[in-house]
Amino acid sequence: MPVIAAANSKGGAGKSTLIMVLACALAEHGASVTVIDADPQRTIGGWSDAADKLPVKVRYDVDEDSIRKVIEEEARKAQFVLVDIQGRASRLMSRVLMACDLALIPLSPSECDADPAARTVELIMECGADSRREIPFRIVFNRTNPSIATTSEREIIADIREAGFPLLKGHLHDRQAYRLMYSRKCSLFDLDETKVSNLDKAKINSQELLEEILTVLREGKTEVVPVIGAEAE
Amino acid sequence: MGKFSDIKKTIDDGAGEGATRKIDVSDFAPVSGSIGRDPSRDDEIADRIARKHGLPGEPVSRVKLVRGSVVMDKVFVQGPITTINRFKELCNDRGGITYAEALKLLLDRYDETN
Repeated sequence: MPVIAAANSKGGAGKSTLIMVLACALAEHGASVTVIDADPQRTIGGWSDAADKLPVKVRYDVDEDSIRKVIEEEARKAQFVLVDIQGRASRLMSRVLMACDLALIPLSPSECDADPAARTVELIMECGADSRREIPFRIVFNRTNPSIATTSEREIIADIREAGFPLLKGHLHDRQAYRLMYSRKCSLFDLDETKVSNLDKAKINSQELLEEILTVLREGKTEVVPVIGAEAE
Repeated sequence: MGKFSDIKKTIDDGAGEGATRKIDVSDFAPVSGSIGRDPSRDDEIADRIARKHGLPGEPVSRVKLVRGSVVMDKVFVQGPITTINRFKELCNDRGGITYAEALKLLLDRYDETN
């Protein structure tokens, strides 16, 4: 049932990769998953079209008028509905945000990406305020080095924490496996371990991130997730 | 790392435990009816916020590129430099018109006088 959207008003922030990785990890653990590719670039749609078999259902027959209907339709069929939105703030983005149970904002550790992410947070909070409901969201660091936190990364994290915005502890690391999953048109868990370096680490990374996201979703089932101060020190 | 020390960095070396651990997702199920909120009210709010922030909607229809209906062709002209220079000066004098425009001008004049 949970509808999870990846949103960031900047293109190339890693939304599609995050959605693909989460979808594969969920399917690997037996969940039924529908991915709705609402990004006109159709990155995930292309991945799906060219793949022989994927463990997830992918739909991209959507526009801003049909997106809500398709989300509702798929939420009745699958345990998880993941939505990839285009990399610019749009009416479609605000419509998806209103329909989702959790918005993930992928953010690469670069100052250039911080502003668009902040604008996305602002949009989510405004959607929440106008609808008088909390729209849970989490910022997710993407393409980070698994062993070293860069200065930019540390500074952006400090900024996010100072603002009191919720940030996932786990990051989606920079892993070759995530790129190969797309280029080889298969699930992360169908890649050949003998041909992809550190595939085991990518799998662990995806599973740990998934576990944290599931925890957030479970918290949301029983209590209102405070937006401000949730992760503040 | 100080205040950032609580930022989790996956321990990458070894750690086979995470790879084999099964994650239970059985407590999540498809919904039986609606996802629980009023779709039209949600869209109304979403659209109001989009308008307020100047967020674009999708174009209603794709704008087609209209190419010129005139069939184009080209001609290579070789001639005495004095004639070619006169032709270029005509183009310049007329405000930098194209060779095709100058040629049409000359042909129109020819038609008028014949």
